[in-house]
Amino acid sequence: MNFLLPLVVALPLGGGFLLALLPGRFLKFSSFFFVLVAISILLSSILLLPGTGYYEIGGWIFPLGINFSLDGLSRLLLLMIALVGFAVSVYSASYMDLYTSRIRFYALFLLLWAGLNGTVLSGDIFNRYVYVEIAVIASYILVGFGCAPHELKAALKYAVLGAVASAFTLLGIAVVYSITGTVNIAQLAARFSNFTEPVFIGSPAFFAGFLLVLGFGYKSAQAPLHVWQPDAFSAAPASVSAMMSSALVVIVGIYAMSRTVFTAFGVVALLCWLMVFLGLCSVFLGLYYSAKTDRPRRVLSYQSISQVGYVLLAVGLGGIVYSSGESLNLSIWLLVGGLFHLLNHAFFMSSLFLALGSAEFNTVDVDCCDAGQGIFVDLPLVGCVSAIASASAAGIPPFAGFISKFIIIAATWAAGFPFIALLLVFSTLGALPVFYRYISRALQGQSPVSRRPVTLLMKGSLIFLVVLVVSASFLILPPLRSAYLDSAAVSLLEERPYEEKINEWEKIIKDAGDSDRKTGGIEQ
Amino acid sequence: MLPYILALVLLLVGVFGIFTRKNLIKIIISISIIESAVNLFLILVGYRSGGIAPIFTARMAEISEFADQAVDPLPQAMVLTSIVIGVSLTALLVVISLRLHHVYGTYDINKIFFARESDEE
Amino acid sequence: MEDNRSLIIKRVSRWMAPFIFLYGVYLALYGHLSPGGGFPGGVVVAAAFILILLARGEPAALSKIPYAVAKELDALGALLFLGVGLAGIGVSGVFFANFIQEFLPGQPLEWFSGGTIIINNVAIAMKVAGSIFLVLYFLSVLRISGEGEVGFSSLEEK
Repeated sequence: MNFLLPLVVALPLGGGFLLALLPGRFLKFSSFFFVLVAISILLSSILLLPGTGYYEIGGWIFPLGINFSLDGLSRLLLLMIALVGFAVSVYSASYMDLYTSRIRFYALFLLLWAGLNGTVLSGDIFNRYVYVEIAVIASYILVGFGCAPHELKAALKYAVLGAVASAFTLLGIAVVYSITGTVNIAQLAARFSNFTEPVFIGSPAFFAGFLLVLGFGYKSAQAPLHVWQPDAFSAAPASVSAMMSSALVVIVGIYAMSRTVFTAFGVVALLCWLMVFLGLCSVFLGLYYSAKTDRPRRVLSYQSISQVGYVLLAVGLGGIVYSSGESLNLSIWLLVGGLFHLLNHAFFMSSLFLALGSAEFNTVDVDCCDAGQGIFVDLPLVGCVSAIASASAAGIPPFAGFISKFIIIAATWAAGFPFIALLLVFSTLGALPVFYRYISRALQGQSPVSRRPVTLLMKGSLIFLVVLVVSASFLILPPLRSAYLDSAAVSLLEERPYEEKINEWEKIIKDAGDSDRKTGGIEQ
Repeated sequence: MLPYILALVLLLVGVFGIFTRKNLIKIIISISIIESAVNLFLILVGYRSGGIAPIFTARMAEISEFADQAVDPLPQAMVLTSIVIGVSLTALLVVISLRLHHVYGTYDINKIFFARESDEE
Repeated sequence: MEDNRSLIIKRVSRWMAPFIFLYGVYLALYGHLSPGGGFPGGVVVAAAFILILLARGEPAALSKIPYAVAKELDALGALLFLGVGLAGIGVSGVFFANFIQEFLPGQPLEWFSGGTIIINNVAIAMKVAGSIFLVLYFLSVLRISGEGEVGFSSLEEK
């Protein structure tokens, strides 16, 4: 079972490079092989679900070498990426008929996937940065995949600002290394907890955390830093938009950010307030802009910003409540709400983007799809999927989106932030007319001329996703919740990972340092 | 202290370049400058005065002698990785700019991003 | 395209390129003992081909390293690196285990030491040489062709 852990990263990488070797004429075979790789990643992610632990790559002992670690949170996110990635791969196998050089798309998509899996698994912040870069560079290319001027402009905007954000992330990692002498997350947790003075504004640790939060915040498209996202999601192929909105933005942004702020730094309240600020900004700016526009892709992109804002807000508030030490239970509820909304967001956003992509596939009439009038009239299944996913996104009671938003709002109120809770109620109500308008416009009026039918593969993956959207509600039932969501929240908040092993090593290093104070980065 | 200040100055030069230049190629050069500044900072983090390169050669008798003199090799490994990432990013940005240059005939971002829709055809 | 490159440049590059190539191979093969390694070695190997590309034009460079070969070198290097990692699982049960080191440790500071590191360096050098050459090649092709759309699909046919 243990060897599956590196395999989750090795499989998409190997599949990607094998596909890059194939000459262009093996189109059928490459699609088949691509879906096969996706299925095998999905299977290994499912098999990894029961266990936790770490894996020493190359046999280098734990805190010294590069390691993968799997805990309550990362196994859940690994499965989420695999489910969405599987649906999107099956969908792309026929959706990518719209584009040339499909084999390149498959290879890049698998690279993106490998980067995401590596980001989730890697146990030190530098390797996490490298995996984030693998995923993000693949996504720069995928956004501009069509090579039309507006697509290239979106990719350029995303890439230029992304390069600056990456440089600042690396600067943050360098500062962390200079004050602690390590990049291993478990070791960082031990060393930061030994710091006597708290993190204050102006301290190097705060500076590093600030850079890391902003760097990852850019990649998760949080509000003041969201400028690339609507353009990129409008320009990219629909399957790429689905994968990016549901997996890339969340993993590379929120997961990487909260792992740094919570696990490595040990829940710093100041940085949590920064996360809450970013989240609140994006909830409202996303809502405002999505209400202002009529173009379907943009409505969905801005709504995605808004929904991810809820997650960041809940996670940040959970950290604040935890560090104030008032109520552990409430902070866990806030994190559970955030994580549950994160999963829901992944499922409903990917099905919304894929449904919209099927309408575009059906007509090929770009202007008509851009207007969003009547695009689902001839496609009952696609319209149905969109309606269900929108209902979940807007927070209509029986669906999972309502439950997660309700948990977030109730826990926020109970934690003593009634003003923020009221703002969230207001924004949740505000999302209703936006989605109502989106669906009703798409279902009324003259349907555009149908050019090619939606294929069976695309329909199949839409149904798969909508089943996930609906059945996500079961996750909140007590046995499943305590097994997965609670353990994920606890692993983010409370666990000092692999504490005994780390303490043992810290002692060895300290003794060696005492006997001769000569060794390099350990002197502090 | 001076090298750290110089790294900061280099970083600020890059940031200034990104926000003030209008030419795409100059913006890409500014990004490279920022990356170099960060790499320089990483190297400085691992440096000790009078240190030698962290390569064990036959001339050294003992491991401990090597550990006494060598600079910290970990930041250097990180810099190597970040250089590779920087190269791939720069190559990607240059290719995208070249494609845009084919369409618009200019590297000026004002002309590219605020071109009228009819020009795009 | 008119060839107005000077005779000296063409001649000297013809003499220089093999030595640059050889130096790159040396850097890659001795990377575990001296400064150098896969990445610098690969860049120097690519530099040999880029010199030919710049000094003697596209056809001369492509006669030395055809487009398809460079592309396959790129993918094969990555696959070889991954293969070493997976072979580690197969032989010793650990991803990227240094399985050659376990059975044939070699003499420290001799060439044959370090186990799989040599193979990894060669793999990285292949990958880097292929991809750096391809990047420069794409840039030059895109520039020379001038006006009009030059899709990657048109390159595929070469």
